[in-house]
Amino acid sequence: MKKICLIAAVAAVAGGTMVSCTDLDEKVFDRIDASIYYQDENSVKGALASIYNSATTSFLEYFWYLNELSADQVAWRSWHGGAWGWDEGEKFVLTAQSWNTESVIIRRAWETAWQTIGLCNTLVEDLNALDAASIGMTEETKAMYIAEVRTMRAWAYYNNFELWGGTLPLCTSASGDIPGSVSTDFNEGCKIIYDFIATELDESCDALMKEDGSGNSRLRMNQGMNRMLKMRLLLNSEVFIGENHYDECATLAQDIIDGDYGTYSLATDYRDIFSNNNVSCPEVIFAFAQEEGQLTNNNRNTPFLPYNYDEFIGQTFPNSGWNCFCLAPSKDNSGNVLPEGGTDNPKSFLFDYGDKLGAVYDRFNDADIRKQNFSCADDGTWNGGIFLKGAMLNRETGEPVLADADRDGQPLVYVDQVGTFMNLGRQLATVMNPRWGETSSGLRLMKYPMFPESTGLSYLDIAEVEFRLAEAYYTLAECRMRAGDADGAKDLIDDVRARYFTNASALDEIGPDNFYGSTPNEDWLLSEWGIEFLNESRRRRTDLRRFDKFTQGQWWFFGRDTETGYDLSAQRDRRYEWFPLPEVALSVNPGLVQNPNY
Amino acid sequence: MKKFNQAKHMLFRHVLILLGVMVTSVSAFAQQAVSGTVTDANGETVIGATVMVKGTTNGAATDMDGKYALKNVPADATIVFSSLGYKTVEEKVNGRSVIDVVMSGDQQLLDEVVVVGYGSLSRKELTSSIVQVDKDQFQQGGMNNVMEMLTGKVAGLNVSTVSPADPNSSSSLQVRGATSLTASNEPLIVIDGVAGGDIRTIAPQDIESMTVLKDAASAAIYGTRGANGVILITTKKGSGTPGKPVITYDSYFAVNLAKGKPEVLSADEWRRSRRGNDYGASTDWYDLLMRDFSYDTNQYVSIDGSTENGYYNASINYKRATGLDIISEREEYGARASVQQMFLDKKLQLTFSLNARHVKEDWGDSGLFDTALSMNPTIPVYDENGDYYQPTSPTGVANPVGKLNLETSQGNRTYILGTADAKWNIWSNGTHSINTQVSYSYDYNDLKSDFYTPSNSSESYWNGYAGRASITYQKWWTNRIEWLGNYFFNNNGHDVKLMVGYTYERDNWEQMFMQNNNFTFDNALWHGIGSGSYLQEGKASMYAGKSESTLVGFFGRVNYNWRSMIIASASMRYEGSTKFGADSKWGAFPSVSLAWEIAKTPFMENYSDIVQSLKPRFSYGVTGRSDFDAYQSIATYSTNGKYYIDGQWVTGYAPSNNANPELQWEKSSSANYGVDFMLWNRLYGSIEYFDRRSNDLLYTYSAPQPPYVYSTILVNVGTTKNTGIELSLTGDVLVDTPVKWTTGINYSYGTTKLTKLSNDIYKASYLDLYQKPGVGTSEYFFRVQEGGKIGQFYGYEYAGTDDEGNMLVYNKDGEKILTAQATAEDKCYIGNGAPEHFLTWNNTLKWRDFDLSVMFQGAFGHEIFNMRKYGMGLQGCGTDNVLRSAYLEDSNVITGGGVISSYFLENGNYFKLANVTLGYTVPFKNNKLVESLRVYLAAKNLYTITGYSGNDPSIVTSTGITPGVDVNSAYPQATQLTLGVTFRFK
Repeated sequence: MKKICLIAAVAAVAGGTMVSCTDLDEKVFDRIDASIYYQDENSVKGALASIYNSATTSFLEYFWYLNELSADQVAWRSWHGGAWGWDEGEKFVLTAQSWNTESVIIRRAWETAWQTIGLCNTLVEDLNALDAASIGMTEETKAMYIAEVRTMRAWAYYNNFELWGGTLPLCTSASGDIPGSVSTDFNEGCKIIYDFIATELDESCDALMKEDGSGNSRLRMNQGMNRMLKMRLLLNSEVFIGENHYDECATLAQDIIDGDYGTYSLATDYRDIFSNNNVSCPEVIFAFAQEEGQLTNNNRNTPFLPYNYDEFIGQTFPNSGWNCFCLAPSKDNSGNVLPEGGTDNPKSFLFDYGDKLGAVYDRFNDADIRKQNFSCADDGTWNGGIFLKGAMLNRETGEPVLADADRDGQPLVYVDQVGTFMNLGRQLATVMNPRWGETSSGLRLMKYPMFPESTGLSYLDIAEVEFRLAEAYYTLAECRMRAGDADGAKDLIDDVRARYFTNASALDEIGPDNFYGSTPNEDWLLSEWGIEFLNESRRRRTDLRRFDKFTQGQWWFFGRDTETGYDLSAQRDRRYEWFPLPEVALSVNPGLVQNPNY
Repeated sequence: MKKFNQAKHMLFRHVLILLGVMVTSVSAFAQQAVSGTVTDANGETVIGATVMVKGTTNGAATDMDGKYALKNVPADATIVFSSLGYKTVEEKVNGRSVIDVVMSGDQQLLDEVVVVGYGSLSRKELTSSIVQVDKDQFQQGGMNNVMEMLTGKVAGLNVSTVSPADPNSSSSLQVRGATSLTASNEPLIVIDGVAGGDIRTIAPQDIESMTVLKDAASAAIYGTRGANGVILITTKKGSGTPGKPVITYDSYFAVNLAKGKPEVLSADEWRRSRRGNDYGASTDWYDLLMRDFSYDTNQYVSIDGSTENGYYNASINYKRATGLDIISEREEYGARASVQQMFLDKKLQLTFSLNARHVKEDWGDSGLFDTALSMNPTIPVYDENGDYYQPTSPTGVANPVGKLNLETSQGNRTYILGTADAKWNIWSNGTHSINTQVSYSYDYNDLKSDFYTPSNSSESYWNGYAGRASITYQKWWTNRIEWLGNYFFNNNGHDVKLMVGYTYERDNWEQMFMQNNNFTFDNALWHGIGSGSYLQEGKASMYAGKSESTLVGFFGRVNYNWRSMIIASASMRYEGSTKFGADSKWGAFPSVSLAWEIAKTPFMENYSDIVQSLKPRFSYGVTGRSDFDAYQSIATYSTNGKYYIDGQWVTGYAPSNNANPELQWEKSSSANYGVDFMLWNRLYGSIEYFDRRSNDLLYTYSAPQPPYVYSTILVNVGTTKNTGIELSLTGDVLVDTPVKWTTGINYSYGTTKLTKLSNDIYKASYLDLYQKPGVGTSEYFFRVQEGGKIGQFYGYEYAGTDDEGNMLVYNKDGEKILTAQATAEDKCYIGNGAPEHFLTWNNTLKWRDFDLSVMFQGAFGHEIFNMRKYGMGLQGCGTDNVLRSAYLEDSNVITGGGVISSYFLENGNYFKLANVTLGYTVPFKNNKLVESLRVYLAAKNLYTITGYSGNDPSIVTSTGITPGVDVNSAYPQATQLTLGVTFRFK
């Protein structure tokens, strides 16, 4: 009997486990099952938040590198005998226009951009399939979210389009087949992508929020931002698709200025655009929200700054200085070397060599209030200067801030020249490319103010401005100039520039003669684009390419320095007009057609 | 000649116990006492031989005089005498009360019991590729890791340890080359039947044997987890005469003697080289990170014994080891107990075991040795105040000595493995027997990692806060229930074993993390984590995670043996897992194998003096590989950043990853052709050829974006073919001489080819693997093309330098160009990183009471990419300091252009004297307390012959699909000397 009981017990245990235990559905714990994700409007906001978050990393970092470092105003510079900041040329190849299909920044840009688009595709698809009422939303709210995401997606496509042109695939779904390039013909591909972006923007505009002046829409996709992007598309349509749309562009720019797409106006004090609480600045159309501890991608300054920038700023921030970015220098290295670096009698690339590009500091009008060293009073009053030039002083003690690396222990004195003044790594040459600099070579930029600790303000809380009304003025000005109305163009530019001058007559002092014959010319306009939007992540795309200067224009070291191994000629190979598809993308998607120039 | 072969006979006995309960006799004959003496052919007594009444657990071991005594022996019983080194003898009692036995030598190998999946077989019953390594064959000396004891013991098993002198490092294992692209290539570890157990749970001294299942036929019973081979670990059971427990004390003390270090410019040379600033000091950063005296000690005490109807065993173990750096340390406390008892007229057998271990790890930072090499040697260690000097550039630089000393980083681990097993012998007569068994096991380990960097550390300096504390807690646990049913049939030369089973296993993982910064006091370390100001400021971080997966398997096997001449086996496992995609939850894993023992064939009878065994065999099996994380196949959302929406910061949610609903296990089907042989009783071994095809390989692909959201996805795609030859040959060179010498080699040759790399979605024709670390280009070290071999370096061919010392490479047209002008199209295959040949040569010599073993080890036919030379071996390298060779033999090349070129590839062949052990067994006779005493001196990693200029080539990864890249840290290598003792008390 006992035996039978035991056998029965064993059989029951064995049998019981066998019957009940073949269920293999996966149980999730630390994540949300996608099938139950959408519960209410907050779920939609959650998905939306991840899109904005993804976009900040993508747009504010990689697209900035690709559009500014590759152009004439901002450079990646290595120092300490070429050893520091070199990073195997990771970003230097952008400045020297010598990237290839394996360049890591190009790859990262590709991956992050498509991540943003993929997240947009997912949310648009989900929202379209969702019954708004089932999650307690109105149809209008739902339509607004869809329009917002479509506009964001159009912008992400626009960013990609500027880099890769007609090689792009077109995909609005988060699943399904792997799309190849939209066309095997690059130009036809450009047209398809162009039309897609235009259509998406047009279709989604009306449902978007419209700025009423209260600032409620500036951190989100809004009608003004949507139209500004359409305006950019139209302004660059000759580059993109070989079609001239300046008239349509001018009309749109005028409509934006007139407030058809939201209440905006030029900032009378330009410092409001970049300071804390810039969300209330009427010129700002769209900015990425930033706040320390929440989201901090605004990293426009620290790549320029030395490790000990806290000494002259008067506040310590968690982001360390990179000391890798500098502004394209205005001067060559002629003359006798000075002990603190630089030379005593350098020639100006702008005035002596006759360049129209690069030479950032010299291109600024001396009367421009921005053309002074950044400084800020204890009460938070910023003098409006955006440069770091000359000797840096400790804010507390007034003592010199000391440099490191090749000039370790010496006072840090920024010079508007780039070269190996200590002959470290390479003998000093009259013009040197940014592979060869010193720790104090090249001026630094402080476009977003960094206040001293006494103010209680952190630059990490400043929203990162991506669209502002001044661009509509400049766009309209360019349209006028291209239509033959140079004076009309200048009037518009001056509407913006007026705020930088205490003396209105300085407005007409617009640089060397070759910028201004009888009327302002295109070189002048291109220079003004660069000055106004310096380091705002658009120099390559919006400006240089439209004027065919990106590979064909001469600045700084191009055509003057002969660094072995790089094509540093005055005019580069036109292949660099567009970026190549990254090698890794081609390897997993045979449908992609590489940019024909690579 | 006396033999002390406890290890072997204990295992044997354990198996006999199992066999015994399977064939429980129901006879009712008269019982009597039997005693006698066991001697060998030379008349010497045999000590420690196992004497068992066949079919029972009634047994004893022979004492120092070779005597044994058994009680309650049925008059018609058979007594089995066994001992390592001797042929097992069976004697019918036939009413005798004194039975003296002479044991003759050396065919024992064929009778040895080998543990296989869910059972055991005698060696002669094997039909597939299985190698068992017993305790007395393990490598000796201080081992970080149990697996190091297998080094060189099994042809086709590659044991690779990255920094053996770091007590917290672990080994990686690979059976028969790598075939998987992404999933782990590590074999499945099974501890006493518990699959997936962590080997660190067990003290090395508690291990009786380790069995490596190399081919698919033997591993197929483990289904989706068997494709990388399986290593079965069997622990010690109780032993000895009932009522006479044996106490063992095992101890060793080892010292680590650092070998040479990479040579960089000294402070004076630095000054002359004018590489950078002179801070006035002369600092040897590398030496300052080294401990003066690094040691390793291990204390172990066990007691084991047997009872009338069972056994018991308990052990405790303490281990402490210090690394060659000033911080790394490891301290372990382990304990184990197991007990088995039979009840209900030996029908019911209950077995319990519990292993527990606590480990405290102090973590140094092996990367700091590299920092030390590249640091400016003129920077002082201390500033004028006596604090650690903080260099102010480049950004983020740390004083490596300060960093190691100021920061605290440690881990506390707990390992628990408990098993409970009930076995019911249902029915048995002389021909048939049936039993069934239910077992439960609980396998647990956790890790609490604590970190604190104080306010005066480099990290605090650079980031502008006063200290950072973090605590991470993780735990893994598995509950498993298993049921087995066995049927045995033995009649008239036909021997059939049938096994069926079911297993249900649930794996869990959980973790939590917290971090806070900016503390008023450094003293509290992470214990005061709540007091940092980041918490109040909303900048502290915290997260948690949990996953669960379930594996269900049904399996069965039949073994057939006809007169030990024709042997066959077939098995099947049907298995499913929650991790697999919805459409492919279940898979079947069959196997068959067949062997013919020619030596047992009648026509060979006349040659039995020459050929003891000649056994061709063939096996084929299908196995799987499923070592990937849960939740890869289903669509889920996870938190992802934040954004400011409608007046507040909203936590973002996004798809967790690119879900792949078709995700499943990798399939591997493998054929194995082998011959086992034993000739003249002195020469034995096996030769094998295998052909392993793996398909549906898992790979974390660069996902095509679009349509995929993220840049990577885990998919099943690709097919590899992996073939190889293994030769294992052992010869007793000197047998009947005062000095006895046994020598043997294990050799393997293998290659893996990628045959296909596409499926319905993915049409890639090549794969780039292993992105070069650091910044710069996103170059990959390897490109694998369809039809090409795995492990081929892909880069530029070095073509000399220009006048300025810039490296030149060949472009696709064979012209010399500068690296800066080279494009991806100019790349080609420049070398092979996977050793094609592995060879080990083992020698054992015995003279009187001394024994000596010497092991050589080598790998051949490959190149190594010297990453240190690449990073800091040229004058133009971006590091502050560089290798001295940059100014000597490599001075012609100033810069390498930051690309992968053949300049940095070097021949990776090496041959090393890996292990020498000299043992002395103290001859005790008739000592009342001591049963045996052995002392040994072992030396590990003595001398290496190689042309490679970087790290010791044997630590460069030779496993996996991206072998031969020497990214190893400059953590010093060591020669280890161990003095050990093993005492056994009566």
